Amino acid sequence: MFKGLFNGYNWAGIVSLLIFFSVFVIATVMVMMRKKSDIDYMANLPLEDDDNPENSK
Amino acid sequence: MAQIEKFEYDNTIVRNFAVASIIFGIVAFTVGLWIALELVFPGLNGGISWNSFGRLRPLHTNAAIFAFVGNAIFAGVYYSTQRLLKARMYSSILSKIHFWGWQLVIVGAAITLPLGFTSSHEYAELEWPIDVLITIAWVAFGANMVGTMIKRRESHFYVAIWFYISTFITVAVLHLGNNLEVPVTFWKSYPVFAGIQDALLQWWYGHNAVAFFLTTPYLGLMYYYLPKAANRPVYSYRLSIIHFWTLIFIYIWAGPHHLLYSALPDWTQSLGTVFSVMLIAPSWGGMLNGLLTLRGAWDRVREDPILKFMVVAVTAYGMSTFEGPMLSIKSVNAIAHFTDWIPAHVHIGTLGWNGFLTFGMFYWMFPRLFGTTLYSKKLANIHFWIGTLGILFWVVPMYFAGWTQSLMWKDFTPEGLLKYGNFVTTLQSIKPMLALRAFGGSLYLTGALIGFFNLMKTAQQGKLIRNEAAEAPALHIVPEPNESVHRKLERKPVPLLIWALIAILVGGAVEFFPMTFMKSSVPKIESVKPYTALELQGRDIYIREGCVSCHSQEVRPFRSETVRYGEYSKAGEYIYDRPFLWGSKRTGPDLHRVGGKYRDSWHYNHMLNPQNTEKESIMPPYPWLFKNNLDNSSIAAKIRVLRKLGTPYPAGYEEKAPAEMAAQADKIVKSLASDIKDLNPDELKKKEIVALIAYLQRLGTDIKAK
Repeated sequence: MFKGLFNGYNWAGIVSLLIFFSVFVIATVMVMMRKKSDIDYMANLPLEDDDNPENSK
Repeated sequence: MAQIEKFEYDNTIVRNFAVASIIFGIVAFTVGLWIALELVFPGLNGGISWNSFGRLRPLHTNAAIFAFVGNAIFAGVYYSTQRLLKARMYSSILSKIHFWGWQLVIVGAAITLPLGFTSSHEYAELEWPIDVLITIAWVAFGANMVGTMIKRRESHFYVAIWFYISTFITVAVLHLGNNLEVPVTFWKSYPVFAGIQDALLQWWYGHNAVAFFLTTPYLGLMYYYLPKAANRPVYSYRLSIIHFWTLIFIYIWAGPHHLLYSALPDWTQSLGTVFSVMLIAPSWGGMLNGLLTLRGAWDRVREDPILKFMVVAVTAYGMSTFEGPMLSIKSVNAIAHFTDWIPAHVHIGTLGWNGFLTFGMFYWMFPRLFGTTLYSKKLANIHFWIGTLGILFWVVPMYFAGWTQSLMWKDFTPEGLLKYGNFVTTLQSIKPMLALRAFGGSLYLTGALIGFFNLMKTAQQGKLIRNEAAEAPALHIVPEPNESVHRKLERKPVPLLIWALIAILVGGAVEFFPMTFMKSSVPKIESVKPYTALELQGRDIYIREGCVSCHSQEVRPFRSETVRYGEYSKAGEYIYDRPFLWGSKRTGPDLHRVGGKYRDSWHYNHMLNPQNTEKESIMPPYPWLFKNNLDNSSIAAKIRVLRKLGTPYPAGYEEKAPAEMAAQADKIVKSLASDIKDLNPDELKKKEIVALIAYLQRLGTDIKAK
């Protein structure tokens, strides 16, 4: 009954689209669940050491 | 609150890698300029074997990728890792092994590549002893990184560290995968896989060398040095996490876009295209994240050469990651592949993204390493403008060259004949553009020399702070209740490493295993037979001379190609090709169907001096092939290794081979003597040229009706 449904499809294209979509969705959901304070803390890690003399004179 | 600990950052190792990067960068640009000039003035080849384009081109690419960019990565990574993890590198001995091992690899490459020791896998040309050395240096780097992550004082890993660690693990996998080879002698090996499997493996490697050597470590560097230089945090840290996981997962699938319209099965090509197009999403996410980090600081970009370099670098990243997906669409690829469009695309990446981020990073880093200020901001600005002009002069003419030549290749007369049937006519039309490209390269090199002077003067006016004092609280991890999985992962080095490894293995495995282990992927052709011993020797000369740098062996199924070259290439024709020699650029014509197209004497005259047979050719002469005797000392070992790998040479063939080679050589020499006067047949039949002619005349003939 379902035989015709799957004939002639580019399965590689469909599967890869699904993979693409799910990887993005998982990554986005994972990131959105994070607390803002955690994110701010991480984002500021490179700026913690105060080695910012003038670059040049 | 944990106790405050005092420690020191190791700046010596950072300085060493940085200086090596600049010096080798200048070498890479100089060799690049030289070979660009060889294409404009073929006389520069001088009939000297180690000076010919085919042998120097891999030296240029390896020097640019592994010596210039590689050393810059390590300088940037060692500087930022220590500060992000608030710890000195785990082991000074590992740092030294890594540094000296890597420089030894570079020196080894600089000697062996011009001598013609090459596996011919693009960007993995180095022969197996140097591959082993790379592995040792790389393991020292990885162990040092993981060790530092374990003994750190900062509980969580900043996103730059993730990019570094995924670089380490992926490059290790790629290096081992693409260098699966069986040694024949100390400087010669054959790859385990042949034909289309070898091609897929090579471009899985080749593409991901771009991804995980030229991109992910540089994204890590961008996420550290751009906020540093702009003195503000990255625009969106959440976006950087999405960028990381999606990029490393998707990148690894994209390799087959280098093999569109080839003999590779269609489904593999489709996967390559689809994933390449998807790559635009994470890449542009990262690019925008970088540029938006400068929000509110754009006024400083006008003043600060460091930010200028970084802005152009990130913009170049955006341009090449837009262009890459577009080039992976089959209809665009049909035009671009094998033309100068591809080197243009690549050089936006290396000169713009890698080169400019490197210079920006060094201008920021040197004053800090040496406790001083930059020697001259003005010179840095001059470097920036000359370098930018250099990039434009490099790429714009090459885009035009690519489009022009491709359209000429495909042009037919109303009568249905090729309008430019002679390949050299199409080459003629792009010669001015090749000259302009060399001019662009010379500008970029001039900029780099100014940069070198400026940085050395900066170092001279300060004093290296070998051990920079720092302090931080000891590592004290207090897991929060209901912590997310990812939050936990961010402070566990080994699980992070394992998850990154899983993410990058999926794509490679899905594409490679079915193709390797399903017999249906390579339909067998009964008439395809292994190379004779003499042809095999000729093939190894073809490999040694780097012919693959300019000649493809892959006729695509287009009318414009089948009319020009002959029947399109089939997967089953390559099953004895170790390594595959499809090439990626047609500076000269495709050679897959060259067998039997010309007389032996044509090849003889052509190799002696290509301008004898084609006045406007830019191919170098190969006089040494007429002087060198063919070295047959390892032919038995070659046959044995190939038999072990699956080539069906009959038992005892290695004993019969010398007599068979002599007979085949005799036949060729006889045909040469009938066309060319004053030959010495007894001397000639010992020479390398005869083996090369044997190979060229065999190419693509297996499926021709006899």
